[in-house]
Amino acid sequence: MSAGTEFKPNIIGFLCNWCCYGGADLAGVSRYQFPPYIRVIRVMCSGRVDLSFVLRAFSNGTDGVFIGGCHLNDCHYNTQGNFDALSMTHLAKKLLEHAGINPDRLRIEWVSAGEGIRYADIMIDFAAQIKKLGPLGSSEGIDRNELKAKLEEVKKLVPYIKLVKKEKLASRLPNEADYLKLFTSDEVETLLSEAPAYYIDPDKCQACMICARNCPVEAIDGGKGQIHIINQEKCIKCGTCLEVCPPRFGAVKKLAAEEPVPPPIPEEARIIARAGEER
Amino acid sequence: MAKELVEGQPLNSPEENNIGDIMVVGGGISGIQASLDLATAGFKVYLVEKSPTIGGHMAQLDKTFPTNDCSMCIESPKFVECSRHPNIEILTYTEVDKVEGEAGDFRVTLTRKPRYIDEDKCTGCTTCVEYCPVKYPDKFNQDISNNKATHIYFAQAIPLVTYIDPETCLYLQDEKCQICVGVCKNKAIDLHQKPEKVEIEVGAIILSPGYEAFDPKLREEYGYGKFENVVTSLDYERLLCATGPYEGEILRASDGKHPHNIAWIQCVGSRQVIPGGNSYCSAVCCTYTQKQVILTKDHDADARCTIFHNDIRSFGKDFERFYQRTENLPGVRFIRSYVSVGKEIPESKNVTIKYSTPDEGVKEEEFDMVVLSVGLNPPAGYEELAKKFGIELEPHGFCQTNETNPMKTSRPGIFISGAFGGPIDIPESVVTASGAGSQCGELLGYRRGKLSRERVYPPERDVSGEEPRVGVFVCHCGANIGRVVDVPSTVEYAMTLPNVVHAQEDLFSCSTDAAQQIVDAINEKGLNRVVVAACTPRTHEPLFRDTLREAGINQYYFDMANIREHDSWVHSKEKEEATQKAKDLIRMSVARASLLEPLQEFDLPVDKRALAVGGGVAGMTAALSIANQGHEVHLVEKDTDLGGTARQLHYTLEGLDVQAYLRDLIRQVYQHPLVHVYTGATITEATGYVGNFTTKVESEGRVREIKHGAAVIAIGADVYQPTEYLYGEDKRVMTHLELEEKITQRDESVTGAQSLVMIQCVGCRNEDRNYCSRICCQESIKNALKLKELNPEMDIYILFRDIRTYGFNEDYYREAANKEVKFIRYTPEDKPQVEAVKEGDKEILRVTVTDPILGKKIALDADALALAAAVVPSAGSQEIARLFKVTLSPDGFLQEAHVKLRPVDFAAEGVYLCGIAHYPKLMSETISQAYGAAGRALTLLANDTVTASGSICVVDEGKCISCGACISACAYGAIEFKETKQGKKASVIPVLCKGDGLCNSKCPTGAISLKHYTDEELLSQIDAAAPAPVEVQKEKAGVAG
Amino acid sequence: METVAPFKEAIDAIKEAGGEAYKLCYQCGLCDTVCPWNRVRNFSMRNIVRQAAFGLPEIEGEDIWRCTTCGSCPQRCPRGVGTIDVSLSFRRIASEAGISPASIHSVSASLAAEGNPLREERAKRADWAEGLSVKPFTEGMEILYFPGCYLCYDSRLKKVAAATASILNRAGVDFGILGAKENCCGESIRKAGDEELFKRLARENIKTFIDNGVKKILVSSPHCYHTFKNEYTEFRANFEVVHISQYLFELINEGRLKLTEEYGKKVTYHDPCYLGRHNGIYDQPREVLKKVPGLELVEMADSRQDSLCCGGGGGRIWMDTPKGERFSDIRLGQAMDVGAEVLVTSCPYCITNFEDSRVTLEDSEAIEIKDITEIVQEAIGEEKKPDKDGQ
Repeated sequence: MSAGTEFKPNIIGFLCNWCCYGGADLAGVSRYQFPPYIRVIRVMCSGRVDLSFVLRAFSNGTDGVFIGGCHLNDCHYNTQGNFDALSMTHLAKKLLEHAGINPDRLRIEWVSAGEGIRYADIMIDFAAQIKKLGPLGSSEGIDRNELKAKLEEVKKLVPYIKLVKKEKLASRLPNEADYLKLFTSDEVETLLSEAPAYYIDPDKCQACMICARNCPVEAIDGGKGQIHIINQEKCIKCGTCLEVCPPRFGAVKKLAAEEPVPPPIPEEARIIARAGEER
Repeated sequence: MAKELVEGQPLNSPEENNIGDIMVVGGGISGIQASLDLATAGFKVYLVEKSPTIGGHMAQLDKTFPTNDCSMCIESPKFVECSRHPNIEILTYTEVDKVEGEAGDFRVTLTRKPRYIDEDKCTGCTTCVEYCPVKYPDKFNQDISNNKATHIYFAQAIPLVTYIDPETCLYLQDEKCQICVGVCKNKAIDLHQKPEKVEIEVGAIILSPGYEAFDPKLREEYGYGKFENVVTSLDYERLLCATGPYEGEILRASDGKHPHNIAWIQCVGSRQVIPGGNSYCSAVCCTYTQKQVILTKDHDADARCTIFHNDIRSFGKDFERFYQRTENLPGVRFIRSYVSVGKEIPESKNVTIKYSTPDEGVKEEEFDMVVLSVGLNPPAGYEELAKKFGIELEPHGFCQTNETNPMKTSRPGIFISGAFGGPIDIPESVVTASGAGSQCGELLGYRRGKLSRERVYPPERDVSGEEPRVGVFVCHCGANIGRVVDVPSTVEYAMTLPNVVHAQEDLFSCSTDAAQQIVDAINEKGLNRVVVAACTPRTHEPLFRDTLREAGINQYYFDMANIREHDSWVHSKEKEEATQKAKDLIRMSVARASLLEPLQEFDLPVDKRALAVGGGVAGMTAALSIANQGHEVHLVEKDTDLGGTARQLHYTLEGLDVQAYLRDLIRQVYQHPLVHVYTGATITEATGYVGNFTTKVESEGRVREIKHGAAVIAIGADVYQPTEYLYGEDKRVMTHLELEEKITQRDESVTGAQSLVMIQCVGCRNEDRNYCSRICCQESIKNALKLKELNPEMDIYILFRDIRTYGFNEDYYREAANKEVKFIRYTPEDKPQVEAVKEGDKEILRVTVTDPILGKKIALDADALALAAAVVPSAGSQEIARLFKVTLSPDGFLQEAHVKLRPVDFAAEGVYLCGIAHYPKLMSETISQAYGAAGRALTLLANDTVTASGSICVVDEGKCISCGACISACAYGAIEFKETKQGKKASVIPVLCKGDGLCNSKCPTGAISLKHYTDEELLSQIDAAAPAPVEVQKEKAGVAG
Repeated sequence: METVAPFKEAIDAIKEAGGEAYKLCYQCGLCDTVCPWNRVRNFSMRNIVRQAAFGLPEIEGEDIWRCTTCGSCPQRCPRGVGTIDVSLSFRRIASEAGISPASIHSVSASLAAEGNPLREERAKRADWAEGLSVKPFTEGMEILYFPGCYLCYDSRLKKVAAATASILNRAGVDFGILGAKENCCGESIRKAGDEELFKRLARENIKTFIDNGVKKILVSSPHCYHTFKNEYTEFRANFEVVHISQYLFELINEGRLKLTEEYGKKVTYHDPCYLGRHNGIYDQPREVLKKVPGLELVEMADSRQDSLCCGGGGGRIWMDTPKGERFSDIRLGQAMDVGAEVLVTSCPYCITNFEDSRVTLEDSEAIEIKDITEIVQEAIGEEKKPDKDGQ
């Protein structure tokens, strides 16, 4: 009836090829009916689902994200990627909370290729759940653009998060429940609030290019004889520049979150004056 | 040229010297599978089919049970595979005249019947069909609709060319009319064609002539051919089918109206000893009828369906659930009574049926349509066939084979596969095909590869410089998609998407002509990306990738939008929503496709050794067949002796001495130089991948590391330990296997019993184990007959729910009845009661059961009670499944890759299954499956290399910050640090990379990425799926439409 | 629900009485669906066969006397169960226990005393032939005509006997009858369970046949035909037996009979169970009728193999069937449904039952019941004396 007004959730599903996608196929073959909201993206392993995928989906305004993998210990791959998917998901939930999004909008489930009915049931349940939550932001009471902004913020930090939480994200815990406690809200809050910044002291920089060459994301401007500047927009806070900057220069500084990053010096001022050269 | 690409080698092209390795006779699914296996295993195959196309009966079916896969959808890719295989030469419309010579050296004379069409010139454009003035009943559609005197047999026919029916063609009859000759642009029509004799030489022959459906006209009481609305089940398949006489509408012949009240009559021509009938059970009818009922309800939710039967034989894997699913549909009745067709109501042309009820007498009901579930007869002209090939037939007219080798005929070098061995379903036909293939391999191993040819593709066009030019092909899949999704509007919509330069709809995108259209579109429209919106990529991606290669485009420039399994089939009621979803999925695929990169696959070496897990009949048979083809086999058995479950068997219904057979088999295994046996062994670790596995086996206190290219899992099964009917409490209560043991030992307590009762379905067909154990009916009847032989005076009662003596076993059911074994039916609601009582000084077991016909409880005083205990999954199955990364079915048995067409493969490449670990089965069936698994394994082991996917990881060193996250993530050890002038950087060892992409999502800088699933590609899908644009696109599409 | 135990002794008795056929039954119920009884009331042959399996025959009940031995169910049984033998074995056990229906008792008595079931005197057995120039059978005659009890005594059926005699004479057949020496063939009393009496009648008949040097026997009743042909062989007696409908076909084909007179009526033919289903004679009677000038032959529903029993077989002819349960009533309806003016058949029981049904019709003139011989007799017309000079 009220098709016009009725809320039709937009859900993205990441299904692993070997189990959950097979289960979804079987659901089809068996004609198990479920609501038509999910849009499936096929990946070889649920472990391939990147933290940034989830954030991107929500910042696009997607109402729900589903991740489907093989049952734990049944992963098609020796790498047991579904465990990684699990830890990633729980971290993502915390990050969503941080951005003010109901973490229930992100769901991970295990469905084997033989469980068509289970897949259908989950789809019915998740659809109902998201319908209850309403359009993204509505239950959270935040407007879309604000959400988007917040998520973009977090997204920028993904490389940094991956680096810092490397070990945890790779952890293999004995039972599934333990993953709920893997990441705490405070932990994530501090993680984000304490994200440092990197800065090159113009007075110490010798424009040796080493940092620029090593920066994985080409976030360092400045060529030979030009004082290097870190483009904070591009910087992923990996700290490579700090590592590679020759100790005798010690130009790269790691600034704590609260310290403001000094504005880049103007172009004209970047030409290096070396000792012994006359003006 | 284009045609040749699709067709592979042109048919009996001049350069052929008419020498091959194997001739496969019969192009049904079984013959097709045999041909593909053998061709892939390095043999040159002639596939000879008497009708104008390959496909057989399966091509006529609408769907296949118990998954209700679209039959044509799963079979036609195999047509294409056959036609493209460089080692298969298809000879359609061809009969075998003469077979001379002997195993290893047969000379076969064939007659190629005149098609009156030059196959090489005909493009299948069907102009001649349009102009042909003659209409005659279409055989493919069971003569329900008409076709022209010249026509293509069906849309997916191979070869896709027309043929002219000499009986009806005006010219061929009396030299009138040559319109077709005039309209054919290619001058392909030759009305003066003559039959052509072809001589070929082959080393072995596989007969797969299939079956003939029972003709109900032989028994006029069915009213077939007399009453318009009485049809056979095969007629009904065509009525159901989207490509059928009424485009998938079920219509009555009498008035073209939809029937809403339909009756199915089971066992038409089967289980009857009256003239014209067959004494055996046709084994497939119960389940195909249930399928037809489910599909009928799909077509018309309010339809009332009634099935008249005398036993429901859901003896196959997942059949029991399928039966329940059918029974639970609203308006569906299963009535246990054979019936007589009453009269045709003159006004309505409805048909009445009389059936019998135990309590309310005979009832007569009126139905809009009556479907006769016709059984399976031997192939037409079987006597002549047998004479021609010099093979023996068994009494029913099927091929005489050996219980210990159901594919072996009486003539060496000639094997059979499929229903010629007796009534069986599709998976078994496929299994026996692979099995017959394996035995050909054993026979002709010495010449393997001598005649085989490599497949050549046109050089790949470098399109890296070009802008993406995407072509979108949306499949109707008959009506599977089209009935729900508005395909035309999705096509219009696709045209509005960025980079899309071509979009079209297909009836079946998987058909040869559709493939040809893709090739043409690529060439003519300069497409460099292809998106097919159809079914699941898990089954069809390889086919379409191959099509791209044919067109000289890198196969990775392809993506599939799954709008069937994930859309039309699961949202069949919400047509609009489903159409929208289809558009979204296509949009996502197009976005992804635009970013796809060309990838190169590479060859991995194949370790020629095999591992067989399980030393029962299955494992040993498979091991021997593989070893007989020159491959080392490591046979691992957890027990201290070989033999498995067969050790508990002593005789079969057919009278085989199982122990003698087993002793001989074990001797062969131990004596075979290439088979290494490990008993008392456990597998501690299994790693690696197709062609290169490493398995750690612990036996006699030491661990060995076995390297192998393939693995056959044959871990057997266990027997349920009953908790019911006083089992374990009273020593006179035993399982059927224990009974067999006692009988063999001539244990007085059973052989001397005055009265013995057997209870069927103990521990299965219930909530805990919702499946039928398949073997128990035959096991109990076998024991009953043996007891009657030893002690004719003994009273034997078999209490059953349904007697499931499928196939020829039905004859033993009748024999047992004739020997006065009494059968009493019980229901799960009213199970037999068993109590130990004392009659005077005599201890007896009193079994009380209700006889439904007498409506009385019958008290049976038994001296012994045998329980037909369920077959249950082996205790070790979960561990093995975990080790080899294979799946288990809901019932805990090994889950094959595809129920119908990959019955002995796992989804995991290089691993195969057989025996009762897959599902309970008789020993002869286990043996077939074991040979089948061996045959499949050889398709891998016979080749030196296996092609590995191009979808692996690469490192952009510039981005790598050597954090090592990827290295710790990759359990395959496919990533390592290597020193560069920029310091140590991660680098990938391609051979080891399995393409799970874990490293990709671990990498903070995006330095390592999984090809074909890169961040960009996946993000593009995420963005394309985003809600906002959807609205916009809706407008667009609206405008466009 | 009643609890019972299999009764071994009874099972043996049933086998003894020839009812072993129950063994093969798998209770599919097909027999019930083809049984004519289930058109008028409930009756389950399946149940009877099942009773046999456990040795629990309900011999006190009426049901064991219902089967008309029409042969429909054994003809269709997918398991090849000789259902008739099973119900017969029950009747034998019953009659040995002396619990057969009263009517059967008196029939047995009459048969034992007078050699016919109709309580008629043996001496009057040849009365029908008076004035018909029918000779007593003597050795060397071409054929023995065996009219059977009903044609000898029943007022309606005597006409059939007469018709037969005149046809045979016209064809110049050298035949005779046994008259008082003729005994009931015994077929029906056997089906009614009195095996001893059947054996006695059979032996006497066989003896008479042999003593009189009989080679070929012409019969009017399919029941005589059946028992002579298929049951007397149990006594190692083999006579050539021919049924009148076959013989008429022969005579006409050989030109010994000329059908000259118009018979301008719409006729339908009823296959007697013992001629059709039991002995496969479907075509000859129809061929004869087709040769009758002007006769239009139409087929009823349930013809040939599916022919609806008149209700007279299996000794039912001697048992009372209440109105509303008579198959013959239905059969007449079927005949009139296809617009037949005459219902032709070739069995005394059928004619008896059909005539009974006819008189209960609202318009008893609506249809005629005829034996095939009566029609042929009309078709050959009155004997014309040849001219003196033989032209």
